[in-house]
Amino acid sequence: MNKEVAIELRRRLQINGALRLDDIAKSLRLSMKEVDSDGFDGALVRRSSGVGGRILVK
Amino acid sequence: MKKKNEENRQAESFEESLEMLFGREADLTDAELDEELDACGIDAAELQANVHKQLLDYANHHYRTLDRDVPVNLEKTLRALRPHSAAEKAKAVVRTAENLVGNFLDTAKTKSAELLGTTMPTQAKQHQFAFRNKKELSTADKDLLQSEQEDVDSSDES
Repeated sequence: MNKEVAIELRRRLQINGALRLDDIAKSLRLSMKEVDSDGFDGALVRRSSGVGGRILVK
Repeated sequence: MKKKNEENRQAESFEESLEMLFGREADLTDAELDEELDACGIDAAELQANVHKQLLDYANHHYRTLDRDVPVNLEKTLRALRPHSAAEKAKAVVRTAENLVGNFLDTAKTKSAELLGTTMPTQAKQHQFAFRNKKELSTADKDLLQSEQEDVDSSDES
């Protein structure tokens, strides 16, 4: 079933070829940044306007 | 003869008792019947396939191999009980996936429209972080998040 769901998602979202993480993040108005954190492995910082933001990765 | 009548009466009585317990078979939906079978540890699809095979063997042995017409009711029953082919099963899975994704995307559209259409000035200024494997945040972590928040708000990344 997972395969069929993936195929249908790609069809409905008109996705051809391999997916790149940067492309997905860009379409969601998200950027990514590596940080030196102690208290988390990852964090999403939302823009105060509510649209987009930044993903912080340890 | 008397013994036979007694057996029939007992069988009828037993069936009446079953009806009282589980309801009339004709009143149950296919899904409810499948649930009943499942509760008894019987796989509905497997049972249907077995019954179909036995009836098919009967029809072949007593009619087709003797070049006789299979009775209409038996033919109808065989058609109704015929197990789904692999291709039909695959099609059903694809249909389910299509419905699942369709419902998911419709819900996502509705929810995102609701979110974008809702103005919450007091909440808009609140910083909301989501974490993966969050532990105790150190002062450095809090400073980092504050700094990133300010940077994100001031940047032109959209």
